[in-house]
Amino acid sequence: MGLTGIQIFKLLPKTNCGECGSPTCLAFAMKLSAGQVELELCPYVSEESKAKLVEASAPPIRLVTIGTGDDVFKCGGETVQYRHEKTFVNPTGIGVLITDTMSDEEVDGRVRRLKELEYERVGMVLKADLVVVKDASGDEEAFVKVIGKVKSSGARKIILMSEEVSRIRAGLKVVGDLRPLLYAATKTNLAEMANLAKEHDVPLAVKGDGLDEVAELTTVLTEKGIKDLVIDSGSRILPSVFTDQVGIRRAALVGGLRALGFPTITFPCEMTQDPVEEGVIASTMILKYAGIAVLSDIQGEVLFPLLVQRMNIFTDPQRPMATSEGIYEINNPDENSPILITTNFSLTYFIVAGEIETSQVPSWLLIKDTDGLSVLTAWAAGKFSADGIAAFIKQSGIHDKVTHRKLIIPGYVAVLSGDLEEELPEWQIEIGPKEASHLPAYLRNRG
Amino acid sequence: MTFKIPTQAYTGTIRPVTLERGKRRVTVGGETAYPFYGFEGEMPNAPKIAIQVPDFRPDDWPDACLKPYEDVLGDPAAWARKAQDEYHADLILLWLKSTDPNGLDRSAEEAVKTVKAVLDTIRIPLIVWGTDSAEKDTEVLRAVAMTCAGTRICLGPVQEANHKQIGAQALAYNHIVVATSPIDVNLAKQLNILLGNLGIAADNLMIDPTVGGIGYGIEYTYSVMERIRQAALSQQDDKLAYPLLCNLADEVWKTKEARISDDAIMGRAGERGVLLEAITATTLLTAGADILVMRHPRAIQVVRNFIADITGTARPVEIVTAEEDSTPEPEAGVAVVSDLPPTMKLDIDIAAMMGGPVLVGPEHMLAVVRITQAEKGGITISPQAVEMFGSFLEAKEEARKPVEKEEAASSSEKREQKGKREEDQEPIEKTWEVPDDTVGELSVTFEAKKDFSGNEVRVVGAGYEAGKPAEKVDWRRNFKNKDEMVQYLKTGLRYWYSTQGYGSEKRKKPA
Repeated sequence: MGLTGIQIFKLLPKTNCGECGSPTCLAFAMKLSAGQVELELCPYVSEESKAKLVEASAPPIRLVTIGTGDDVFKCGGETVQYRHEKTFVNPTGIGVLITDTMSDEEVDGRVRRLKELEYERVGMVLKADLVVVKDASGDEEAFVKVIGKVKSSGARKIILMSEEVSRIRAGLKVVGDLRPLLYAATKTNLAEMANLAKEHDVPLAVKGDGLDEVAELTTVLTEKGIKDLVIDSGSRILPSVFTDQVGIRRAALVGGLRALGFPTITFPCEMTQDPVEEGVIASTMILKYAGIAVLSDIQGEVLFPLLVQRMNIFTDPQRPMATSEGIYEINNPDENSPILITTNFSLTYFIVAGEIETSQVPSWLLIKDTDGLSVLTAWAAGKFSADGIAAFIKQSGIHDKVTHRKLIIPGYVAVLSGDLEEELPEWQIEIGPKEASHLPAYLRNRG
Repeated sequence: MTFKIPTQAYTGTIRPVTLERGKRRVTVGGETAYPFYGFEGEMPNAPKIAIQVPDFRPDDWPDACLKPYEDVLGDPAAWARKAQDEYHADLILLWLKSTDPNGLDRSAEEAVKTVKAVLDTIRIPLIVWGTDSAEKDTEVLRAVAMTCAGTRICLGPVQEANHKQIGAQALAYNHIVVATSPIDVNLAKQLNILLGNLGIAADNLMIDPTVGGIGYGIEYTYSVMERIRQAALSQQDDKLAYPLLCNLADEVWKTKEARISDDAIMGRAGERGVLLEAITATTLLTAGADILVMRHPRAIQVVRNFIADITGTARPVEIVTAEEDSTPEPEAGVAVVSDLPPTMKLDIDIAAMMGGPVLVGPEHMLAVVRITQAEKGGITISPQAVEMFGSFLEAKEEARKPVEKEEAASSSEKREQKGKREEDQEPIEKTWEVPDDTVGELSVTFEAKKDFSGNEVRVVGAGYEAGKPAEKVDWRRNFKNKDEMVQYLKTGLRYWYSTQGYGSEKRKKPA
């Protein structure tokens, strides 16, 4: 968490030597606090102060990565409790559970769905993130076998789940190079698990019975130099898990409690038997701060709503989401189908496209890039103007797709129609409804 | 060490609002902490679910949400009864979509008929919802408010454009209003202030922050609701301290994702729609929703269980029809109860021992059961038990209507209907009584005088004590501050119709 300039100033040598490039130590402290300069520039700062400053400037919730190379999963690194303060940065990881007692068919199905269930939305690809391989049989051979199967399927972001150190060790022989998360260090296996994690340089999950125990365990581990930790508060009852998630986030951010400054892992799969309820619990975990949520299985009907909700919640609240500029075909349009134009604010696009789809009238939808602004805002900002629209129409290539020359513009920018007819002399401008919800009636009655 | 969650300072409370229908009262609001933060505050009233009842035959809804209502399509009263009896709605929201001038454009008279039909059918509180067309809503909701005089209902959406007209009607007939603003904290606050100035009492007001479904702007709604709650609970903004109503049903089911049929990647259509509705609901609950307007019975069941779980209360017992049971025994089984809370299991044991119906709480009883699916905690109610339930309920019904019995001449069917209706409306009539004529109680003095012809007459003497009050009575002293005075003046009836604005009718100086 950030120190103020004055707090930093107290730790500096106060010599005002100017060697760092700033005229005074106070000026340097201010820049440091704003993140504009590096502490290394000061040649005279004491080791003790340096340690304090590094400690204080570390993020309040540690960023933990699972996997190696380009395709890694990140959790933690969050700085706020409410998304309107500043963005939630690392979306809650969705994991799918595979146990060594499952049949080949069940394992293959999960692995296949993990690969296949992908959704593209506003230029982002949404999919589940992690495979959780659980030792349920107590048989090392079976555990290693299923880990091997998962690895050969191409899965790269893996959590190994067993409280038996020897089995985790055996598992690491197969996937140790993939930097998996080890689940979990407990009160009883702490020392051995810690050594294993250190030896292989992999992140480690800590499972305690309540947050007191978790904090004790993480304190021991950080003292040993193991800092890539993920927390499981141990509870599997909804109100307790919910309270724990809120408590951990608040303790780390507001209370400055280092011992809980780590991302969390939750198990909706162990909280209910019903896949629909599991999805509902997972949605709450996404909202309230879980780093990872493990599901018993992934099916499109549950995964899709969860992933879209997650994308929504983890977007930057300051910046509107945008769809890419271009021609969108809805309901298989032909050369006689109507042409509508609107802006590229995602909501505008989704709502307009949805309503056109509902109308069942084959249509061409032109999306003009307006930096993600909605119709009225874009018009007011001059990004949805007659000349801009005209230029876009000319280079869009819509001329070749239709035989008519009629363009429907949003009702809110009816004022543009005169200018547009001047800019596009061969086109006839029609004024559509103001609200998207009136589009189906409008399109159907247009004939 | 003992871990304690760092505290959040709360200064406010959400105002409780009570919806009524006869004896049935449903209260929402009253929270003293953020949603489900039970470790540092109270949520005295769990969020409630209103089932949406359309006043038209919805032909273009996805199959998944038509199927549960297939036997009541186009009959709002039957639909409402089904929502109440089978799907256990806490509230009914009647959606007068057919009055939309851009759609069927039905008249206010037709809408009023539908509202009456629904009101006569249900025993739970009613919310009447318009179309977003400010002009048409004014006309329709005014008529509805007038028709429902004597029954407190809830009216929405009330927008800035029509808040005066609808607000005045709600004020006149003591209805609750739902203030709708477009996903914006300041606009929500502004409309609340305007309605307050109009004279709408604080316990007659709720906020509709405008809802976007998953993938359709839910993040905006989520953050606006979080900010409304923060302002109300931690920033002393009592103009935002009202319960939140979230009208999510149509926002979810009109999206294209809820309509796509079964698909290898998108999954099964029906379940997907249910999940979209349920997750939209839990997202809004986590941001502070007090009333959720929902549609699909399965989503409603899941969300109701979620609310029970997260608030640490027992799940409501759902009766599922036997045909959905995997091991049906038609001759013995009529109904299966699944997912029983532990407390319920004890009651079952007692009921089994007693061999007959046992009261387990107000309005609830349990009869002989046979444990069939021990591992799922399922029970099957035997036909004998159902019969006993029936006679028990009948006896109860009879006990409630002693007067009706005298009308035995009329057919039994008619009697039953009437009995039901009487029971529903009894308290309503009491809430709207004509004030007694109290003039006769005035103590007056008489004076003996002579009229112009010199006859002796008695006339009413002076009704005041001479010399009192000693000082000039200043109406202003009844109010603490200027805002209250202005509000009093604004809402005084005679000023509604004056063209002079408010203040003294006689200006000392010409304007």
